[in-house]
Amino acid sequence: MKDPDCNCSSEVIWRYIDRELPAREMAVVSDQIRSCDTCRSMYEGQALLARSLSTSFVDSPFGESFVSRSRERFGSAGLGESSGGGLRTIRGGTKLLLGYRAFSLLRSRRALGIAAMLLLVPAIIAIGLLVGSRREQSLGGLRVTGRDEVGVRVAGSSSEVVFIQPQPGSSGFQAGRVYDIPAGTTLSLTLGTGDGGRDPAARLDVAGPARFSTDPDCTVSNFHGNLISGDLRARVSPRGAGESFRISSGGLHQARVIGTVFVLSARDGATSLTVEEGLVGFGVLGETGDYTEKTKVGPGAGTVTLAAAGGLSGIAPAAGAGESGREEPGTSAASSPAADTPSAGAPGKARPAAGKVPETLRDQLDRPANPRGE
Amino acid sequence: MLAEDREYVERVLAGEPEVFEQLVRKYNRLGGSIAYGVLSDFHLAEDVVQDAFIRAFEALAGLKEPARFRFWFAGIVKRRSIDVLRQRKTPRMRAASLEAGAADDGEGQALGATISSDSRRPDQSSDGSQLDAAVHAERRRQVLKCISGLDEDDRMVVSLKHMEGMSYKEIAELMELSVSAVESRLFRARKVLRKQLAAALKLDSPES
Repeated sequence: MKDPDCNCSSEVIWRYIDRELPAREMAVVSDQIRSCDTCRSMYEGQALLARSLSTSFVDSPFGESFVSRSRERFGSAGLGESSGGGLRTIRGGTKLLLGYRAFSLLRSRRALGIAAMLLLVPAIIAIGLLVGSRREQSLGGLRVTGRDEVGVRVAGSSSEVVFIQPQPGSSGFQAGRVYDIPAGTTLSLTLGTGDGGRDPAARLDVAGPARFSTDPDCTVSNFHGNLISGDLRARVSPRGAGESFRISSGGLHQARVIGTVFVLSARDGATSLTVEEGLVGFGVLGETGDYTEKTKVGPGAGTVTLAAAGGLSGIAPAAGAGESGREEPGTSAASSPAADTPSAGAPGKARPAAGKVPETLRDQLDRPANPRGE
Repeated sequence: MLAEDREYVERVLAGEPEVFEQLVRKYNRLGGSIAYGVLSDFHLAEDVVQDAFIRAFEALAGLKEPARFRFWFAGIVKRRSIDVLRQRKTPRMRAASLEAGAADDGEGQALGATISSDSRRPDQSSDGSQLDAAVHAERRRQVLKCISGLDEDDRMVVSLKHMEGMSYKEIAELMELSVSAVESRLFRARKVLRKQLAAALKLDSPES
């Protein structure tokens, strides 16, 4: 109902959606959206528009793919060719010379820069440790395979991008960062390292082109990933009481997992789920992030798709996946208020038909899921 | 970030031109947002951004403040975009005819076709998923056409916000506007877009 004290305006709601309000005001507006029908309605319309605007740029030719496509053109212009000193040769006979004066200035600037760096490095390290301890929690081992690099940036930032070189070793996966995975590359995350010979909590393989991130404060026990676009395959160990494993896609849908192997695909606002083992709760996210389960999906259900508007398709007529899932008490799906919604799974049936698994994902991930990430 | 840019620039100038690729990675989305804001065309925007990087590389020695590469590069992209727009001699508000329900022009069809081909789902084995993909592609095309109909500065603010994900402050710095001016432009542009897209997005509730 309409809150008589409501003073929310469209402008305030936009600042809320754009995360431009101070933390305290964000919380106030969030409460207001929950309690006031008028505010909620306004918020839902504006959030939908914001998502539609952002989604409309998803297929823009920029990002890592731009770099790949541009290499040839840049190469023909001499970019990327290494040569000594302040002289670079542009292919085709053109030469680019640095003026002596400019070069001298640069050299002096570099000296100043080095001195400043010597003073600043301890401070930067200290700040980095402080910030890193709060927002860059390492969740587990990360391995990148493929021919390209993976771009990584802090969630919410548009500029702080670093790149991971594909190499045999693994590095730490940082929560709260956005991983931009180009085509032909797979990012494998082994969540947790296992304990006393136990399997790790989960293994995720995200096949490019894809973008993937996690909540900054998620943990191995309560993992919340966000498949912004692309495909991923997950093998999740059974969750204990109070533990959860959730993957949201595009802020619209969510798969909640109870010890299982599944493939998730996010494209064009729709999310497709194929479950190979176990049981997965599959539902929609409200504007305030509340989860409503639409169905449970088990092996044999084929590929189930949730459209942007929340409509389900591809559900096998036979229901009752609950028997095949290793559902643990206290897990998120089991405790979901919508847990008794019709199930899509078909217990005891064969694995989904090969044709229903996304081909590109199969091409890149068609190998036995190894819980140790080897 | 600024110190990082300075380091990249200085390393390129000191004989490591391959380091320039880091700047390309870092700023191609930004360039794309600006070029799209001016040109309303992804393909042209891509060409312009590639060209702008080449020009930036060639003129790098003349950059007085390497730490401000971002702003300098943004200026190159914008100027180059405006040049291309003039060369085309095409009214940039072609898409404004959308409101009048005009039929697709060639550009619109090309854009729609591009989105469709770029957004192929790997599992389009069923008619349902193909239909979903087609519906979403059509919706994106409609949204882009409406964005194309905005005033150039409003369009750029929208693309910097929704394509590059910049904050009001970052957009303000880049466009040399006040934060409140950026917010006003965004608010106005979204209001227009909301009105135009109300039917397509099934937006029922009033905005204010």
